[in-house]
Amino acid sequence: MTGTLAAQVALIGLAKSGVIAMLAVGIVLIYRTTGVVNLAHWAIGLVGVVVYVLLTGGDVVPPLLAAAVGLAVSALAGLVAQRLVFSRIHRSQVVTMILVALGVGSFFAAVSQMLLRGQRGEIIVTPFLPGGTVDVAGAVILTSELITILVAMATCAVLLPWLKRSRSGRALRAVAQNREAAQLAGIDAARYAELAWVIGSGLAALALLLLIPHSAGEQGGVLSVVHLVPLGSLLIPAFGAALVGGLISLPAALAGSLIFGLVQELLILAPPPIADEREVLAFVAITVLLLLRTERFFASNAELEALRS
Amino acid sequence: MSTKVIDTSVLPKTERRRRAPSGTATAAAVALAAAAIVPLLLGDFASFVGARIAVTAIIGLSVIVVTGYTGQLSLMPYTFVGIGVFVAAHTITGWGWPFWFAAAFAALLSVPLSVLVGLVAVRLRGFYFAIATLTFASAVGATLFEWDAFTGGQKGLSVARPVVGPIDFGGDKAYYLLCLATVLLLVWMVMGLQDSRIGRAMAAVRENETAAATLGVNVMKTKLVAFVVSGMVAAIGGVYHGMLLQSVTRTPYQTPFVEAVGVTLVILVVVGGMRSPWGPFIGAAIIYVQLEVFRTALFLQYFIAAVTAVAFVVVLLKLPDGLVGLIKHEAANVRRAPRRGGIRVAIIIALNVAVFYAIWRLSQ
Repeated sequence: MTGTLAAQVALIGLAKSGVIAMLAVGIVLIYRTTGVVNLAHWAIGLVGVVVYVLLTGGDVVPPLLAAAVGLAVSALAGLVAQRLVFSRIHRSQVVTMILVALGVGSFFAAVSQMLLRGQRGEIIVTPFLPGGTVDVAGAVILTSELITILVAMATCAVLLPWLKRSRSGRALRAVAQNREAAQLAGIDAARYAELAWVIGSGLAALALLLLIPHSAGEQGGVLSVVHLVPLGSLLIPAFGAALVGGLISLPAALAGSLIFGLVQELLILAPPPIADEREVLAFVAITVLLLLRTERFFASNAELEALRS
Repeated sequence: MSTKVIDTSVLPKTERRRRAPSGTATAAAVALAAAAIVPLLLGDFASFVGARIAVTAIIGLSVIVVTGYTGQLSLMPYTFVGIGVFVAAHTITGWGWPFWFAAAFAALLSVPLSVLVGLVAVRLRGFYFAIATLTFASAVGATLFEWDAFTGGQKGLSVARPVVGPIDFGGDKAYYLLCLATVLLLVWMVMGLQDSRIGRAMAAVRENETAAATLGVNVMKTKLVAFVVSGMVAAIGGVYHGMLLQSVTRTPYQTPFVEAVGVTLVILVVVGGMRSPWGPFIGAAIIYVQLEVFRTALFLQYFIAAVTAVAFVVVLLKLPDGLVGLIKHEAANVRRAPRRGGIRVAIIIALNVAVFYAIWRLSQ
């Protein structure tokens, strides 16, 4: 019985890991190619979710189509943010860069609330994934959670090889590693920076669309005030996961997502003092990661210089 | 980044503290008198809003010290505010302490936490510092503020406004004057900090940490002092915030709200001007007056939030000294060419008032 319980908790944790992973991958992609620590990541994804909520409210648009539109809106929001704002700031102005990211995040959070016409409290959201539960080797979880795990895995299975092998993926990595050399080789660095923002922002929307419309299980989802703030409810763990790879390494960020989703969830089964302080343990882990300056394990000095100049 | 580190300590004192240009003192006195009288004339509610602006300005001064002076971004000011709020609830209402003693005690109690966070954060630069403060804000929200004996659990606690001898600060008007006096005192102190030896070290660290270190500035100590001072200021602000609201709960000091209000505070300080202690006051005044005027139109409130965010980004890119810088610039114009400068300022003010009035009429 305990085995089944553990498996069940592990699967729920995996679904959470999947959401964190998609957020973390976007954070890493954007940071590597543009040097922006994207504190607006959650809010940009949120805009897509709000568009989804508005479209599904009238029962006219099929939920799956609405989700696709929401995803596209977030990707566009990321593109606009990069083109209008972030491309104008030099990478060495670190504090300005973070402040601007906070401003962009607040902007999109405010726009989201404006689109909802100031509805306060909790808003019921129609799900687009099938309801019900599935039995995975004796452990019963929601279908939406299983799909979240599969989507996250599929995203990584597509994205990692694409970055490694395809022409665009290689160009993206070239821009990340040495912007000037990439430009000399004829790569349009600005275009690839925008591509990174589009992919990252789309992934943020995907993560939030898998999370929020299915957060209440069978009934669908609830969009609450916890989600409508600039930094949202999962951005800090996502940054923690990305920090495992020093905001640079995608595979390490994925490993980090597993830790922050799965381990945190599994600790529920630990004795009470540990189970009660799961969140605090996560914060301690992030602080340790910050102090370790993890980026030096994943990038050469030249690459770190390139990120800062 | 430019390295304009000038050790002003070698200059004679008179050079350092130049006399304010004539006219500035008069203008400042007029503005101050208006700030003291206008809310009182408008009634209790306006005084409450005024007090809220003054309290936010106090809390914003903590951002001035750590971000404006030292160039480090802390996103946990409201964690220290929370400490002040609940200390006020226990000491003023529970134990009957005078409010100024409670404020001093809250400032003192914030030190262990700010030293603990500071010892970690000062080792980090740029966004790592910011993320560290974010995680600590969440961690304190999940531990200290979950402690029911400290925060009163779900119900929260109540905070009484002070009575000093024959003066009762219970009413909104009297309380507003108390907050205004406090914010002026603290602005004066934070100005003094900028001119002090440690204040100049902070400026050196802000401009270039490496250059500051070669000049013999202890970078880590300077950052730590800035962080601790900012924590104390925020805790004092918290005591006044508690007395303003009179009933306090823990939710605003826990994730994700503590980060959200921290972001809002940083935004209004930057819009006001983060290099000047008057910046938070101006930023808070603009945002809270707008929010109160448009209180009935929720849609407009979020519209204002969006416009403020845009203004914030524009200020960061174009106006590093915020509205204080803009005011100084226009004041210099007026001094140079009184008639042309004066007309220009009058047009700017008239345009703003017109737009504000038009939106207000449309929202009714």
